[in-house]
Amino acid sequence: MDGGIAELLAAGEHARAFDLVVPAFQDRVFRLACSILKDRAAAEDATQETLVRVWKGLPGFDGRAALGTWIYAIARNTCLMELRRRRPTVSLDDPDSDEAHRAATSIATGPAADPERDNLLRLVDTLPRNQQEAVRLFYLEDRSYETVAEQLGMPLGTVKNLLHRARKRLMELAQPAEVKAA
Amino acid sequence: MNDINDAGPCAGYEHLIVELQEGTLGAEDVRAVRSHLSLCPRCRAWQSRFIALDAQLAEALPRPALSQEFAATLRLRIAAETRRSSQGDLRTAADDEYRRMVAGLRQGSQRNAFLGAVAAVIGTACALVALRFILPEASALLPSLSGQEREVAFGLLGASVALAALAWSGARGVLPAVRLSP
Repeated sequence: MDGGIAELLAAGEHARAFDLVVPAFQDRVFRLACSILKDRAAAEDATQETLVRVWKGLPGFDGRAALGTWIYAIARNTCLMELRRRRPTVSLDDPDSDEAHRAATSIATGPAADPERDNLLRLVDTLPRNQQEAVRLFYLEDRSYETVAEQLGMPLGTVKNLLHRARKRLMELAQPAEVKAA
Repeated sequence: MNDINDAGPCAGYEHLIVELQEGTLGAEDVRAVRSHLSLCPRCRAWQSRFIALDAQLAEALPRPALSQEFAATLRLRIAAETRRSSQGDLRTAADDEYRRMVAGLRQGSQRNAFLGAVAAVIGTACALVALRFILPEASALLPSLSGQEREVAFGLLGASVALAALAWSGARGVLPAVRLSP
């Protein structure tokens, strides 16, 4: 599994296994939470919550699924619960919703006053939620399809398809501006 | 120029161009796609736009990092969970101890009731035997009683002693149904 974690779990050393789980997974869980919640503070809270749940659940982890698969499933559920808690009736797929606007602006922590970048981020926010998550995670994870597939709990082909559709859509959306500039 | 920008790539080349950029194509396909690109301005334009979008996304999408306080906060939360878990264990242990104590008391009550009953029987028998020696007058009276009267007299005497014994057991609280004292 992951650097001796499996051996420690098999030996019932759950506390020591957890000490290895945290550095191995915290950043990826955080990036997954960022891609879903689009809010840095909320993503950090969700990462904390996920790791606490992992700590509680480790003694019962039976190893039938890969450890990463299990942890990312907990992370996704935690994030989805947070989304439901925020606004149960508003879809984030609606780019005009206050929630989508708030989420889109809350994570934009890059250089200010970059209209091209802001425009691109706005275009990303117009994509369906599953495409947004795939795009954000793909670039956060250094363009690794396999990592994104594991984190989102989807088959590799589905992730490739989502990304392809997302980038094709973004090229279509970005085109009029480029043509105008030319 | 606009026509080329507006048009997508040739049929079947969209995925191949993406895979070429991502380095996942086999050598033979790489040669074929490159050869096609050298001849097709539409696919070259689409490839350029794809490369530009890919670079823009990689640059524009924020890469948030966990805060400095994350590890410390997580440790505190785990410690709190550990304490809560320990308190839960202690509560469970106290409940078990209480249940064992109640079971022990119940067993003791049953034993006392049994011993009380045995003592009552023995006491009655001893009293009947002793009556013959302690009360010679009573023995002298016995021959004057007929066989049936004598049995009734002894029966009444025995019943009185048994009732007295039961009352004594009840007064000690060992008979739940006949609790004479608080």
